[in-house]
Amino acid sequence: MNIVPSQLTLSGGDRLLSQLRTGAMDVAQGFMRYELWSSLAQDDLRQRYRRTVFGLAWLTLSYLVFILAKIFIFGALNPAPMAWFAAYVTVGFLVWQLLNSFIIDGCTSLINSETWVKGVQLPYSTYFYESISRDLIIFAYSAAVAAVVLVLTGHLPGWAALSVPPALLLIILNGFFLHMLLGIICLRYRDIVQIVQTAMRVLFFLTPLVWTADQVGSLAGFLVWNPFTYLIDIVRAPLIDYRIPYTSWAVCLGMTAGLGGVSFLVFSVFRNRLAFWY
Amino acid sequence: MSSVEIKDLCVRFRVYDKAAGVVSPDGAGVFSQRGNSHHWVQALSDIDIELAEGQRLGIIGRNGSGKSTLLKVIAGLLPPSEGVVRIDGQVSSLIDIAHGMRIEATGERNILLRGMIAGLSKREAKERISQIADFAELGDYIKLPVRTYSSGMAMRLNFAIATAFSPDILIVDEWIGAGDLAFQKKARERMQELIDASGALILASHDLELVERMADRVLWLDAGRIKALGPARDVIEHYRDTVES
Repeated sequence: MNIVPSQLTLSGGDRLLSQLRTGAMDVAQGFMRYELWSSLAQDDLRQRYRRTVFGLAWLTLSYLVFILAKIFIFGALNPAPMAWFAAYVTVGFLVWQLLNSFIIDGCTSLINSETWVKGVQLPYSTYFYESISRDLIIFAYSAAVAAVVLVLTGHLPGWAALSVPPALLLIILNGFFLHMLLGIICLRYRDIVQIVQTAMRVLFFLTPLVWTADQVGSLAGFLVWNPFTYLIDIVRAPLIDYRIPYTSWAVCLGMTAGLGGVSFLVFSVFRNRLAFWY
Repeated sequence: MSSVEIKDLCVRFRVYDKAAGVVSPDGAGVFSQRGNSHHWVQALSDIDIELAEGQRLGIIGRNGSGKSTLLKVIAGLLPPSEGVVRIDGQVSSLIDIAHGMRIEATGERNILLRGMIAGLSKREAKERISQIADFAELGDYIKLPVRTYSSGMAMRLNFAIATAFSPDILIVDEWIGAGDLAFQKKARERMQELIDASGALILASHDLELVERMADRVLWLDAGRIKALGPARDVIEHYRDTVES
């Protein structure tokens, strides 16, 4: 059962301008269904942890275990003070986890929504919002742990921390663009899902998360080519070093604009063909 | 106001499987090829229909002739490859009513979600829960996850949700019956009510008697093209003669 908006004109072979317009309508109308996608996201998570005793507390627990292991193993190898390094790993991994989930879930959000796309007429962006809000709920559970670690290691927020909320907003915006772009590409070419998953596992080690740039010598020069370096820096630096990294901000804003343009174009142009790619 | 206007509609499916064929069953969408690598199924060609307020259109034709594809295009689930589809009024489709059921969620939660999908606000959907649950006659099962239901119970819930809202334009793919004998009677009555309340009806079915009873005009599709479009009795008679000969 589904009800379509009361005035609708569908036509084949649209021009680019009207494709862009329907693409923008999709993004806006999808957002307006916030009651729906936030409920769907909650259901997704409940389903994942159904009949477990701890339920969603597993999100907190698994994050805690993971960072503790990393702090002890990699902290032993790092010359920096333990308290600082613990905060470094905690915040870095928190942001990495969010970006990673945006990318991995972005690849599969449309693929996994097959029965919905075929059965009900919803704006496609609804599925992106659902996936993003699910990732953000997971993020919130981990962020609570990160906050505790920051306090315990003596990293109380300073003035620079005011730049963290806008930094997170920018990351979420990137998450939306990644969903649009990867969702469509992966729906058409399913191998990309596997390629991206493999790449992300490798990138984890190529991003300064469990090691610091001064540890790797000349290899640090390659970090300028890793976009994750900047996206993590804009959240991590204000929290643990009490400074706003303006260069990273500039790079992030540029990347977001570029990614946004490409994603929106791809989404708008291929939106009409999605239904045939299942 | 409810109307549907379809002009020069074509729908093509790209076939991605490597071994695309060339032979399709009689009366079904035909394969076509562009270059060496692009295979297509021409599912619908040159469809022109106008449906005004209060009209009931029946669609008949062999398996694969494009009935469901046409319904999906009108419901907005598939985009036209060519042509224009203009729809004025709220469309509601009972094409595959099982879609969008979450078996891990409770019956109540499913009613809420599906209500929101249908365009209700969370509060409006909440208000409808008890009414829909009553119709499905599930008692306290409505508070349990759908996976604990028998298949008949799940169908009843599905039917109750799918038919809970009366739209301007109703699209039905095959007549939907659900549940045991007692519920089937209730389901029939509900379908009739829904049809009476809707501004326009489009019904695809192989049940010719049903189509003749429900529709005033009938569209006969064959291999994705309009073979005949006219008064229900004439078209159905013509179809019967062709099939029997």
